[in-house]
Amino acid sequence: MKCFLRGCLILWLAMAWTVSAHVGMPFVVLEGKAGRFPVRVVVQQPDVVPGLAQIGVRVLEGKPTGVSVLPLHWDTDRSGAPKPDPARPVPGEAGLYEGELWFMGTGAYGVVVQIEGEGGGTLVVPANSLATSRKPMPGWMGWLLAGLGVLLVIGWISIGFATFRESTVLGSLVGRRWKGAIGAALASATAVGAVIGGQRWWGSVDVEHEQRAQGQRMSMSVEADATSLAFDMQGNQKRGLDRRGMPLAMRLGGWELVQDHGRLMHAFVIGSGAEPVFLHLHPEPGADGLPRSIVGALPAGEYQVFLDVTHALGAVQTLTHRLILPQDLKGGEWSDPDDAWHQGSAALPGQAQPIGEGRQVMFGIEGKLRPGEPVQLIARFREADGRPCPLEPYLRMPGHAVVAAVDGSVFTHLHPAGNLSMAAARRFALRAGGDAAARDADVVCGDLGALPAEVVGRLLGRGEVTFPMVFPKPGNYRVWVQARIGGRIRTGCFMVEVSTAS
Amino acid sequence: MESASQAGLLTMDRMTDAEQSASTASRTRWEWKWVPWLTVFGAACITYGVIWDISWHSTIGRDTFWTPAHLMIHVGGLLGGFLGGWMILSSTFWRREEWRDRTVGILGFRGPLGSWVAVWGAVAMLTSAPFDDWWHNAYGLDVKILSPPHALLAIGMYGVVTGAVLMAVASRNRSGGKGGNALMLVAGGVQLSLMAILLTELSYPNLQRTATFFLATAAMYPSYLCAVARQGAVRFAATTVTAIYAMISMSMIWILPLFAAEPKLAPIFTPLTHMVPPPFPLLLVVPALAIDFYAGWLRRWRTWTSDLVLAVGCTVLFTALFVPVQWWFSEFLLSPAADNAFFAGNRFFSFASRPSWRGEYWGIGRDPVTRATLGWTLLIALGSTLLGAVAGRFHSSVRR
Repeated sequence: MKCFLRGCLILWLAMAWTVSAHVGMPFVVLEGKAGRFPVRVVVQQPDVVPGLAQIGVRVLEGKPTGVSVLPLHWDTDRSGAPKPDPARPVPGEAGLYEGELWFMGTGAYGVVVQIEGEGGGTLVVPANSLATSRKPMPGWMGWLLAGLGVLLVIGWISIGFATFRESTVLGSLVGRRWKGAIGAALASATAVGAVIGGQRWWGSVDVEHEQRAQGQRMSMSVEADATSLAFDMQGNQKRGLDRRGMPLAMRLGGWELVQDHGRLMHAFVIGSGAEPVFLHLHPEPGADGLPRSIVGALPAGEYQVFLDVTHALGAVQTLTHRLILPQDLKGGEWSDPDDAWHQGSAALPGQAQPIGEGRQVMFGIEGKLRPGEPVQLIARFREADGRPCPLEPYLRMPGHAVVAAVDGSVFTHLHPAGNLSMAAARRFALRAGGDAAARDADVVCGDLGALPAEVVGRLLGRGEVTFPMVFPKPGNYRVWVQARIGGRIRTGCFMVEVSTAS
Repeated sequence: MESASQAGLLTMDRMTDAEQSASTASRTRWEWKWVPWLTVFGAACITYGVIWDISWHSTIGRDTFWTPAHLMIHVGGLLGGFLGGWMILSSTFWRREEWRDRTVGILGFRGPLGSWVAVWGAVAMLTSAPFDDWWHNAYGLDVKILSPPHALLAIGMYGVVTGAVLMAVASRNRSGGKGGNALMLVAGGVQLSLMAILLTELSYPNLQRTATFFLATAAMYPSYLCAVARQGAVRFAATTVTAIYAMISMSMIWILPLFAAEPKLAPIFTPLTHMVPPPFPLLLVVPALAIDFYAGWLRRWRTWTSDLVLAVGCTVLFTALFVPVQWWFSEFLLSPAADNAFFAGNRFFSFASRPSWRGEYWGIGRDPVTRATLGWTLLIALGSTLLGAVAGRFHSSVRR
């Protein structure tokens, strides 16, 4: 019974884990320039620690003499990293290199990608090093191990029998069978002890693994009053954070939250149904100290809430909560001018959606729309007469995008450089190469505040924003694209189907 | 006093002439001469391979199935397993009657007890491989020596080594003590070294003033010293075996740092340029010497009572000598005087250890040695030596 209960507990913990993990997105994508070479880097983060990160580097233009990668742990500078590993060219894929790196410690690593050759350079991709899963044992392996285990137990008992019956005599064995039985009994007792002890040990490791992982994952609940949503992060004391996500008076070890492109938190509230509500919020501490956003009117219903945060050590997390509003939320004056609201059905790629005042946004995809394949999501904002809309900086970016699986199993927040945290990239770049490297990282991440004015003008004047993305699995995804035009945040919603056959 | 033969056990020093002649008459095949030595060689490969592998992980970090250290362990396990299998097949199909008196039967097959144990150990090692691989995928690459799949691997390796020891002692006992002593002592030293590796994580010099260290060593080593002394193979058997254990560790301390290597994993808190040596071995030779003198004095008796007296004496001698000697020797190992190529004091740290950890004791605040610790040490050591006396009695009797 106890075993059954423990099994139920482990199953429950595993389910809870799946719900609150990094929301089904193992990939970190960064598209930028390393020296003069434009590259796209995709890091598949390990789901256990220590674990292996898979790195793919696509050199989009030019022919480098080589590509190398190295891991930079969050707690060291370049001197704490090993020599770089050469990335292997992928046969039949011009410009594509692949490598793998071990992430040994919990927290985060910066993957330093070095492009060799004339005009080469480096860029740093921050990646989580957090346990997000516990793989079940394949059935065949369970049977194989069980079979070998039975063989070992039978062998052990037989050896016990033979040891007591025969091993110390040279002559006749008559009448020694009972001694053999004693040996077999002793061996059986030790075998039972070893199996029970081993099972308990395994169980304790399992629980310890779970507790360690839980300690790394933040949790939250969202409460609504008449005008606002409050994000309560109770239960994160292990991470040295209070209910507001602020540091407690204890050793933090880098888990305190830091701002990412101008905000401490980026919250997304997604409704259900054919015309889901979509909110992009930036909670700030209210009178009670809890992070809070005053929102406009919100209809009753069920919402999935995602909250992106960046830890000082460079790890990022997406906290989730299922919010049920039993009645309409009256709403008030938006607390942040960069917050945005949208409700409407999703259009298909290639179609256009109205974004107000006669303007439209068109959405397209470049690349093979398959799980694990990098693609470009393209949003073109057009005036009523078809001219490109001049964009305005929106949280230091030309635009934002959110990709969420319809079933809620995948969520990621994108910028033109990818789905990485700018703050984390800056931190690792600073560690890898000092202030100059940190400034370069800002540029690579597309921070409009770090780019020359003429470049910013050119970027915003195109009325087009692209987002590199890797869909992790087949399914139906909603994509919301956002840009600031005419002083307002404009949002378009699109539906993308990803299948293995497409 | 009850005699050994009355107790149903034939000890080496009471072997009859008939037994000796029977033993000598069948000493015709090469297997009985070389297989025990080759199995002990396989066991030594495992022990050296494990020390090398720990150094590899401490220095380079990244490994594959095919690292030289892993290959050495695999060769040792395969050698033990195949040689054991060969002896079982020979004893079962080709020389069943000729070797009947020196083999034991299991499920219709026959073979020397040591061969069965070595084969069992090799199967356990084999079983641990897919288990360990899955473990890494499920929970992450383990950075600890002790994990369930590693424990199974260790049990398997210990099985191969124990098989070698059993073949050695059986060979020696069949010869009436006229040969096989060297083989038995070497096998014992190899076995002790492998056992000591299991306690590596509790035995760093920096931990040698914690209660856990003394309790763990009291559980492990007194049984071994008592067993070796009880066998009565040669004078100073325990001293010789502990000296071999020390030489195995010290040879690796002196050899490994000769090879250039550098870490290939991050974070690197301690930059390294050469392979990391293991920590200096425990001074088990000190209590072993005293135990040998004591066992030599008791050798005239071979009864259960004398075994009990031996166990009690070993308990007292181990606790009275090992605890103070290691207590003070650890202070030397942490001092700058030991920070050299001979003692490898402060040189055994991995690339992932922080320099601030060196030269100081760990855990003495939360795990101090108290009077209660010493009491428990005595009690645990007594249980350990009693087991050792039984094991030693068995080792002096095993013939198949």
